[in-house]
Amino acid sequence: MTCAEAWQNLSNLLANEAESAEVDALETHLAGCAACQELAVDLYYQDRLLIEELAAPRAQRLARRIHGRLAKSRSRRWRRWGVLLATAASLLIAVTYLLVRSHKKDETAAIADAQGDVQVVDAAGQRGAATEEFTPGRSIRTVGDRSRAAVQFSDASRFLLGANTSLQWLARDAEAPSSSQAKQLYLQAGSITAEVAAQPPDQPLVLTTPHAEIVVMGTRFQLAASTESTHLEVKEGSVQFRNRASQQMVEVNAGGQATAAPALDLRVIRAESKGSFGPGVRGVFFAPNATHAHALVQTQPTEAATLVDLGSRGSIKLVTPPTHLIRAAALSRDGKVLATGGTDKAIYLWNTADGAQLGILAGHQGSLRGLVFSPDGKTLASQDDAGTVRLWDFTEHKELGSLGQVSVATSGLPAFSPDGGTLAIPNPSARETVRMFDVATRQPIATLGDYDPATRRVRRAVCLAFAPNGKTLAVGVMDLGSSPDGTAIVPEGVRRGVDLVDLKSGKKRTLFETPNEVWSVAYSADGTTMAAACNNLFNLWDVRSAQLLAEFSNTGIYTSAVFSPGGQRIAALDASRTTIDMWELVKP
Amino acid sequence: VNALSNRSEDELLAAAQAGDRLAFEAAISPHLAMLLAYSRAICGDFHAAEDVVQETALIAFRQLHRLFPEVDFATWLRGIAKRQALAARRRLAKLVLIDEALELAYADAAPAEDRDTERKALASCLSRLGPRVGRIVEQHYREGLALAEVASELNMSVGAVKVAMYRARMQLKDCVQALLRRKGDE
Repeated sequence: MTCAEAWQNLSNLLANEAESAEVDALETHLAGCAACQELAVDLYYQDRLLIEELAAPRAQRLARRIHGRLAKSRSRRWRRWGVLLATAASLLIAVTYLLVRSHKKDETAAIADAQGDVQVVDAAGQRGAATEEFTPGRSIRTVGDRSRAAVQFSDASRFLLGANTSLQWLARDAEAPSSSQAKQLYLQAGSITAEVAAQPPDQPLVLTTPHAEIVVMGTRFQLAASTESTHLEVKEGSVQFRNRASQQMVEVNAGGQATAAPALDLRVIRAESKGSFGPGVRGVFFAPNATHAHALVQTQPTEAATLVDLGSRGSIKLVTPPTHLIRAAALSRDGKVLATGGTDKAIYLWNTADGAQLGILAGHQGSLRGLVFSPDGKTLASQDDAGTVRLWDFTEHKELGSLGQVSVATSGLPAFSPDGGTLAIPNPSARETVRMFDVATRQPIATLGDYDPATRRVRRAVCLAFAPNGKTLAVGVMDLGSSPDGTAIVPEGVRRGVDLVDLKSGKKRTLFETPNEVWSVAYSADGTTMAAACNNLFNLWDVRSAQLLAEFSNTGIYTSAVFSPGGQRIAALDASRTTIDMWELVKP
Repeated sequence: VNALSNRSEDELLAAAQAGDRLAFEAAISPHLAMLLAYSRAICGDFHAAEDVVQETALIAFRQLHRLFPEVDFATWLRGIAKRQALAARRRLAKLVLIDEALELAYADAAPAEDRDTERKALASCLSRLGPRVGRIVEQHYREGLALAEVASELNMSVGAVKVAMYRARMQLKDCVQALLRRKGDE
């Protein structure tokens, strides 16, 4: 591609008229042409000034629209004023109280800050205002979504109570031995952020919830309890975390998270030290029996790609041609063959032992977007930007056949069933969620979900994963709400999340819902845990109880997640920064 | 409104964080055209971009408590807009170099006065485009018409409109650079 062609493509892209292949070619050209990179910035800047200059009436109209939308929340504003006044009054009272109180007693804590409706309830159930002392036997309750309270103990431990939280200071037993004279608190519901000062060696602070017991010597952590579960996130130091139902106990260190709930095995998930790698990462994989991931790195399309062992940091060079900007990659189940698909519409096969090129699979008419190896080690499925899916015998380097254009270009990647006999394609048409193909005959055998004329909703699958037992299909979904006449899609009705579909009965249950895009879902090898890459959030869910086990965030976009074969490690690719983040999952 | 317009962005945001909706509208208002341009550059057309900016404003108002003092308001708004816009056009998330060009164009490294000077130079150069090319640029950017709609209005082929638009961009770029250079020499 010449620079002039790249500029024309860029102009088309700015006018929203560029074909997908033109955009890919432009991206490839920019990687090797600094002058065009500068021109791209100039033209984007010019585009910005043109809109700021010419579309001013549009911006003014937009300001009126925003004014109208915000006005609807006016009543909320008046409520906020009410809360503010109440807060100011509460603060005044609290400060006065603190000034009057000259000597703190060991057995009291001060409510240093209160917002909204904050109550102190004594052992008899009598309610008082936030001016009451918080002493053993009493509870503090924050009532309402905007309520908050800060509690300062005499040993400088500080607890911040979130909205709708109930924290009780358990009364001491006068006859109990001194070892049990530790501070004991009960978080019935809600959330707290705690900074606990160093406790006497034999008197740790004990914090109990309906599902967990936390023993703290001095640290910083967040704890959230609901009727279903208790979730812990440790910021500094470490705490002991016990599941009250199973009596399992784990130690959770800084950066770690754990969840306790009935019928939930305790697991600690922590960000692995030095867990980030990149940029330039195009794919992340675990070889069989490997504990460390391999990263496929290509920083410039004109440069050779490398396959890096993130354990030993050893790397193998893959001599990729200059036109092969890698957009998709997969590792065969035995770990011996790596497939890469690029903007040049070709699939390259590589020997992972020495980086030798094993073959080229040609036939796609568009840039490669996805590659998936079948678990039985026989087949490679490939998908291009136009949504065409092809099946290959990658050992013989020959095409088995094409399934045609069976996926709309914006949907996720196909998934093989564990026996390799079925290929599920997400979002095959505007009125189907998933279509299943028999890999041997390449004929459709089933369709899941469809368009609901009653609600005028089109359910879209954005990613798929078969459970290891092959009985359930996890479907990342996006329901698009439509206008009353059904002619337009409206953002208000969008619903995103993950559904688990029982393939025998067709019944489905929602594992979770999220405001974010679900880019990728993956089961752990034992099928108990699901990793979900959801924009800037990376979530782990317990599949059976639908409990959130951990949630990590960054500023990029997580687009894929893989478990190590043993299920102890999880690696997620951040496609916006082309980096990998990793976590370790520990069971007691 | 006049009272609001005399207040600094920091003052407006402080009031907005306390729930003052009008202060928030006054604070976000100078950024709307930029947000519209930015969102359109990602999600393609003006109508979708307007929805993105409206949603961005609502989210920003709800999440003002997350705007920390050290964060630039415009940058923070762009972050919200980007998440909304990419949802509409997710494949662009994978285009690293194009995304980099977009971000650099909106990073506002130059002072606001320079941007005003450039905008004036651009306005002057727009008037120097030929009538036919000028109409294409006007209809696309002012009216928000897609190039296919512009082609239909002007009885041209889409390909011809694409080429004309490309030439207009290059002509505008050269013209603006020449004017700025001349101004610099003065």
